[in-house]
Amino acid sequence: MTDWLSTIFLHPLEIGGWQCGVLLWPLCLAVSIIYKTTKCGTVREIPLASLILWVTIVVGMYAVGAALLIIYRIAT
Amino acid sequence: MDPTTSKTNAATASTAALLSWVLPGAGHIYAGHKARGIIILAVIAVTFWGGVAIGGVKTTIQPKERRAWFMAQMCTGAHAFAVLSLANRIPNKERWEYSEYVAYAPVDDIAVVYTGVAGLLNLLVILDVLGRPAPSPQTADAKRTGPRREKT
Repeated sequence: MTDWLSTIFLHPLEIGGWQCGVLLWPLCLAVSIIYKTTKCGTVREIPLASLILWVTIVVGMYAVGAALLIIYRIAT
Repeated sequence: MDPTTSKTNAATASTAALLSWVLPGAGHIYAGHKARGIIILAVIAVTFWGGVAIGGVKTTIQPKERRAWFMAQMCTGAHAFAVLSLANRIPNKERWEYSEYVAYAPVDDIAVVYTGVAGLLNLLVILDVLGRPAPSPQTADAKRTGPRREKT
């Protein structure tokens, strides 16, 4: 157990390339769940509202990223 | 509302806010919003410790190098103190020396963003618990038995 915890929390992961883009998903999910937990009137509304917000944020972020990449390619 | 009730509610909200800082989600549970508290507790813990798992304890919280992010991370209370305590056990090396415990770009940035966002989300939670009224017994009954039907 101690060895496992040491591996997980002491040694950093090796991440690069496309994996950085995928790590956006869980972070956006956390933001959408917490935001909707504070905003929704009842607890039952939270899962669906969080899911919709999560998809909106992820799609929006990728769209902004793609637009900035296109502008960068045109400018350089 | 009479002044005594108002004072009691303010004291409860303040205690709940303090508890929310110490352990994210605990304030909501204390204030009577058990389900919301458990959701917040789980999500903030997973986000924060996910960030620590990405960057390792040595790199994730850097009070001197990333002061603004450090302030955001400290909003997670006990989680941040636990990481600081673990990081202090690892001896420091010079910047140019390679260390198996230190994360390098872009991993260090991702770890800091994860833990910092967890802290900022807990700030939102603290503000929410300050303004959230305690659940009334009527609401709790309605949830258990469903809506009342009027007799015709």
